Amino acid sequence: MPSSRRLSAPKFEARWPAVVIWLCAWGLLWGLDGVFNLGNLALLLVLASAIAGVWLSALVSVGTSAAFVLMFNWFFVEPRYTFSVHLHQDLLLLVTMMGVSVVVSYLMARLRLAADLESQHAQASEQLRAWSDKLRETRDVMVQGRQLQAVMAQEAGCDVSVLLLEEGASDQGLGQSQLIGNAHGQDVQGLWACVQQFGAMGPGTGRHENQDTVFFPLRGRARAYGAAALPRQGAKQLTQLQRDTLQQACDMLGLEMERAQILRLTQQAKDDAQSHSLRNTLLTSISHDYRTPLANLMGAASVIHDQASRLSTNKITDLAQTVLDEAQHLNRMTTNTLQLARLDVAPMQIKKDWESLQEILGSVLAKARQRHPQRRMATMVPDGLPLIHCDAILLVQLFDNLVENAIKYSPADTQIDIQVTVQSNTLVVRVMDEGAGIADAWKDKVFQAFERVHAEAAQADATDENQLRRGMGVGLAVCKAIANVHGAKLWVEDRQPRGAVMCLSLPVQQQPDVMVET
Amino acid sequence: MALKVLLVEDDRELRQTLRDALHVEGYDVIASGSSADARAVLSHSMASDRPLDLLVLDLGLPDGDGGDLLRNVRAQYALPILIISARHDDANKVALLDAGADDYLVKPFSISELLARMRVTLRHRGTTVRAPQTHYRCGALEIDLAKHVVSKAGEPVHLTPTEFKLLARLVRQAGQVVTHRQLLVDVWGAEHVDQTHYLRLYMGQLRAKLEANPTEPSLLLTEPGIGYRLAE
Repeated sequence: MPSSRRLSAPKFEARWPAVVIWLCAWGLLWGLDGVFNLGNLALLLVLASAIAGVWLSALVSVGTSAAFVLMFNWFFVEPRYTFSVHLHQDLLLLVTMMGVSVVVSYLMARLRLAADLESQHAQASEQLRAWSDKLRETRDVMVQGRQLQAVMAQEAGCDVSVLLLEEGASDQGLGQSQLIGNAHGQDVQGLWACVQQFGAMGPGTGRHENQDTVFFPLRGRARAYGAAALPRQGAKQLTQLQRDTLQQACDMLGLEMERAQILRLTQQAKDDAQSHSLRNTLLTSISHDYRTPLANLMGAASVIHDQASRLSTNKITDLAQTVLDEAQHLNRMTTNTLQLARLDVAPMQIKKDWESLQEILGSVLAKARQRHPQRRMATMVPDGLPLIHCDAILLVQLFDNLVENAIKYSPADTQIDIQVTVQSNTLVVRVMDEGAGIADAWKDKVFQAFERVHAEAAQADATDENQLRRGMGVGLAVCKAIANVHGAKLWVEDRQPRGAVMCLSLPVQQQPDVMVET
Repeated sequence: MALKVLLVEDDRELRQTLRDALHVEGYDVIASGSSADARAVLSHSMASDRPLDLLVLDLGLPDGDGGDLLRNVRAQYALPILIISARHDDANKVALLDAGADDYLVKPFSISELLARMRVTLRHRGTTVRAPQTHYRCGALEIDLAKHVVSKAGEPVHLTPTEFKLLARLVRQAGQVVTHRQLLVDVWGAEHVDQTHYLRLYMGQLRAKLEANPTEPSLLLTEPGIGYRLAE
């Protein structure tokens, strides 16, 4: 550390107070000579020596004190202008003065050294704190590595090379590595060795002392995430404190990289779990909900194929209708399952735009009427609804599923009502049927994909076929997922006197500006 | 004389089914399973004395994107093009309509839907040589673009200039889908291409003036995520 060198050998500017103090002391000595006795004058010298010691190194302080004691002997002790001493008292005085001066100087020097160390420690911890702040600024490990290189280079005053291992050193191998700096040959080998040994190497570290370069590992808790190398010119001059500081700086990056790796692993585990549950959903979908329509479809098609010559035209038309219906049913389930998978994997990748709820409901109804021309459906949509910011295709799918469910699970001669109401900051859409309704126990479960697979629950309700069928498939699960990505709420209510109400409340955002002509 | 249709579809079963169905309807069908083959048929047939009347094009082809073929054909010929595509490429569909496809149909579809779309597309006869449609009548609604007159059940309807421009744009391609982008560029100008909310509001106003029940329109139909279509 450059600052430590400066403190242990004060420059000339730092010594001038000591010079001034000595000059004053000698001035006083000359002035007071004859006024006070020798013992009192000697105390003045001891005082000056003690105060001057604050600004001088131990050696200089002891040296000057000794020189000045001799000078005192020369000028003030009888016989004057000789080093000989007449009286025994004076000799004792001189020796005591010498001893006190030396002790004071020595204590002063020790005190200053301790203060120096203290300030070095403070400086080191300040540097580490700044480094930890820097680490937090970026997630890019290469940038962090370069920052470490800069921090260490500043600290040691030489070129630094940093080796980074994103996966850390493990038994399986060393994974992907990045080298920052211009280490080559032996130093690169040294970096790798340092990573594997999980300890510092080189002069002053107790390991491989004969080397020129010092290596510090970037330590995590259990393994090293890289190493840093300080070559020749920097390595020799490092103090113990500097080595500790550099090692701590390296360890901070090591821990940071370990933290990042743990985060990565956690995310990966989460993704794996999600794709696993998605795969299960798809498999359940295929095994439970695709087989029935496929069986019907194959049955009808094979009858047409094998027995066409013996069937009436009406019968063939009926069978063809079954084929069409089941194919449409499969198409709907496939669309829903795929949409559920898509929303599960990337819920944020939906394309929102300003849409009119009236238009969306209009196109849903148009399709429903095409499929069920006999069914009565009525809408109550107030004029001048606010626009909603949504993905139109998803919302069409949502309402399409709700309407289709209402049609499927209520008697053919009853009406389906669709009602829109404006409440503060929300649009509430209600799709109402006059079917059997949904039991309280099922009101939340209907939105879970494949609730039916819970056999006991299904068994308990098996007496009421409608209840059981309500819980099937992905239709309502995909509705819930679509509602979620729009920040909307979807729930079931009872209709009086009978029937179910599927409610969707959509948030209304600040409307865009439009100039309206009249 | 039978109308000549080029059917480009890579799935053999579907190609055969469509080919038979179109044949039964009296079309003269050339079926092709790849982009390269389709290009060969096109260059040969368009130069002959009986050029193609319609191209029915599937998007996913084994040897190239149907979209590239569409752009090539559109650059060279005034041939009407009907796209048939699987549902997963909604965004692509809009891009193709903007690139000059006349209409699209999402798989799976019924033969009657395909035949209806083909009839509409053929009536328009491509985009460049078509005589612009200036007169429209459907149910109680009558529109005369030349005279700037719109009437419902014989009664004149007052439209604002923008409403009229929007309606006129749809009339010019009655029966076909017109994308949001096309409508915004033609009615409001290229700088307003992202202001979809203009469309929503003006379509709402038009429906309120022209439709019996604006929630369930019978004339101004919505194609969610794509655009609008004026019923024929």
